[in-house]
Amino acid sequence: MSQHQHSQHESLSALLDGECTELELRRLLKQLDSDPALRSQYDNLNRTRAAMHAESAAWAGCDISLRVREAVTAAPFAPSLWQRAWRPVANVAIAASVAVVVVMGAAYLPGSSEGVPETHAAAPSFAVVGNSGLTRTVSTAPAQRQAVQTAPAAVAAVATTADLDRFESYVQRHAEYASFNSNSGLMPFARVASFQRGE
Amino acid sequence: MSADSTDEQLLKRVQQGDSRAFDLLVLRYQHRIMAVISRFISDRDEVLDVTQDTFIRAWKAMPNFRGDSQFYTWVYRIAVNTAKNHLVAKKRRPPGSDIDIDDAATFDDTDGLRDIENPENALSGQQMAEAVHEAMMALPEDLRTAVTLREFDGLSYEEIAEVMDSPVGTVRSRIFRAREHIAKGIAHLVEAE
Repeated sequence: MSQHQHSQHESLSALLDGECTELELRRLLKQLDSDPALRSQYDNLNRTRAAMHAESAAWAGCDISLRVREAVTAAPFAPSLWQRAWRPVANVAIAASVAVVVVMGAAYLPGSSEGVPETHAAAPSFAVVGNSGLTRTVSTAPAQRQAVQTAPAAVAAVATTADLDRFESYVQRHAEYASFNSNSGLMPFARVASFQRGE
Repeated sequence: MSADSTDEQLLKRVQQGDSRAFDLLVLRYQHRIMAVISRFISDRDEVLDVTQDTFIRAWKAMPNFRGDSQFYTWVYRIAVNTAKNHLVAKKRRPPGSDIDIDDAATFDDTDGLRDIENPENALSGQQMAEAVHEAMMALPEDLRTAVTLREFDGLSYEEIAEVMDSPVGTVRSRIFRAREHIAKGIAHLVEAE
């Protein structure tokens, strides 16, 4: 027996005991195809083990593995339809959950935005392009979102600078009134919509 | 690391459709499954057929195996069901109660099933046990200790290394050489059918 063969057989013995490394296993599986003697050696080791234990000693001389192997090779299975269909969805769901946890975690980190919750400080903005080509960026603080959400449709029709100014004052007044009538009236102007004129 | 971790490594590959890994699992467990099935079925050829059928069913069901239980436990259940179905198909009555998985592969079994034990199997089992004992006694002390600690006491290589005050690599080599010696000693009884 060559040194290489000896090493392979020793790896098989270790595999029998669950003491084989991942790398060894990969190498063995690869060589099993090209080296029938290797499989036979593993079979032999298993028979020896079976013989050593009373439980299966009487069956140590029997082997159905080749018949199973033929049947199995003739009928390869693919992962089930359910697994195939749900695997990508599950991956996306996991990624989305992780993203939500990260965003929420970062938003509520103590000390962010000098004590003001991150959600307020970094409230999302959206741009509205009117017929005149003016672009506005509307900051949407949480308590004010409902009012601003109706804005895009209305603002889309605004074409002139005067209309824009009027709309701006409406929104600012609405924000002020909304803050007086809500529980979070301590910082009314933190939530006021701001406008930027587009170029 | 344990035998279960080897199963896990192999199962990962099997679930990707690697039939070679499944082959290794069959080689590993076929004798234990034969012993289990022989508790239900006395005819040797039928035991082999049902064992084969068990593993083929396991292969087909592999995409549904979620790893909640160990591979052997899962195959054991398939084996028991396959054996019972076989008896029903042959219009023979299956045993009323299941065998406990821990007792299933041992010879000291429930009285209700003892009567179907095959005398031929018992005899060959006894012969095998004697041959193994002789081969073990013929081993050099260090090999015998290593393989005994592994096979009968279930110690890991690292634990054996500690007990024997030897490097793990030496333990691994001793166990392998011991198995080779024993294999030679029982070769006349272990012949593939």
